[in-house]
Amino acid sequence: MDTKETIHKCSNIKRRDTGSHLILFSLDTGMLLEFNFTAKFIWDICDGRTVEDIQALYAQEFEIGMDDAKSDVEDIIQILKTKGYVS
Amino acid sequence: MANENYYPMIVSWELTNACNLNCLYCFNDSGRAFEDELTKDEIHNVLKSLYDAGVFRIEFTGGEPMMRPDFVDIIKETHKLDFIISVASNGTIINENIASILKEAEVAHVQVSLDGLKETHDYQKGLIGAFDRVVQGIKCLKEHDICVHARMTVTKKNIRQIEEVLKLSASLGVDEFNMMRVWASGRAIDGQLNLNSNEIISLNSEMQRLMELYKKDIGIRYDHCGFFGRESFKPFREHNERLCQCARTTCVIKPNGIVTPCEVLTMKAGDLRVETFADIWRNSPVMEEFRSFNPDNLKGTCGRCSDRNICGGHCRALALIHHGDFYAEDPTCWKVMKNKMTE
Repeated sequence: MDTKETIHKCSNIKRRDTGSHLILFSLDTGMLLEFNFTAKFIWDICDGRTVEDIQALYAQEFEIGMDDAKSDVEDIIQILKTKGYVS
Repeated sequence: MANENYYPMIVSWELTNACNLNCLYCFNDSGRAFEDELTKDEIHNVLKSLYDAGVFRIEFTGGEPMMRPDFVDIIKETHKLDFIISVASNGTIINENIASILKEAEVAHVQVSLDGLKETHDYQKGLIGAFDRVVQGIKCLKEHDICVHARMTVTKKNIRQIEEVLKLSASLGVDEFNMMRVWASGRAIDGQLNLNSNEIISLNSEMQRLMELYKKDIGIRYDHCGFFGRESFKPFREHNERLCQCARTTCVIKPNGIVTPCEVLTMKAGDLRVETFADIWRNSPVMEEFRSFNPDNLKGTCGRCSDRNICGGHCRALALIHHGDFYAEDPTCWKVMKNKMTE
């Protein structure tokens, strides 16, 4: 993944925050996606930042090493891209 | 989330039992408003409860939902809470004001009933002039660029008019034609309007023909009629998921705030006047009964049918209504009818 790439939320996404989980619904695909607390953090900062910025913020928030943060963030962003939630 | 395995994606909400029509097949026997219907303030509280439980979509229905004097306020409030809204209406009281509010509320679609050409429609809807009014209603919605679905409830009386209604719908700019067989419940419980086995089989073939012929002009969806080979059913087949989503992703709110898994038969899962929606969805034994339904326990023809996993015995409420047994065979399936004839 190109870590300089900027990540934006797609339009036509509705969200519901149920406390421990975040549920996203795509109006385009009709599909639901459920996130835990950490994935929810990543989703919230997909606002035009670069992948490496998101990785740095994620590492800071959860006090983990950059290697773990890189892998977690790339996995989540890949899922979001594949399912059409971010571009 | 309100439940570990089942998510309340869509809620169908009967805002009122009041209706200005008298449809021959109404499963709610709608007409007069109930005395204990939710007030506007209570409705606002329920909307918040639905939002907190994570519900995304609300389908307002009735009765005729537009009969409520506060219908427009309810739509505005629902939109404010970022729900996806759809409305099921008989289409006869739609006006400029209602259409413009629905447009502002970004309503996903309005489903209106269209059961036949003039005489047939008026007969099934129990009001002379209903046809002219629904056509006006559709035009009004389309003038406001609102997505319209035409719902045709197919009975013995109108089964020969499907193509004409489909063509009319397309000519009015309707976005989707939606055909359903009549449900043998409510006013139609005596079965007089029901299709027989041969009519159901012919209906399925006819819909396949019409789909090929008109799919470029209008979206078309239709009742499975006991046949499950269609492409649109593929995800259900692949995931061994049954079509009926009652208590799994959907449920119904009655006009008085009672929550029930299924619109055809009220089985009280909870009362929104005293409980939150999330509590009802998560904890109600009635919801659990629907969720723990096992198609392998179906009886009679349904129990022996190779389609029982996807079909789930069609509608379990109908089995309860007609046989008093949640696992009884579906009295409206053509396979069940055929077997009865040979027994």
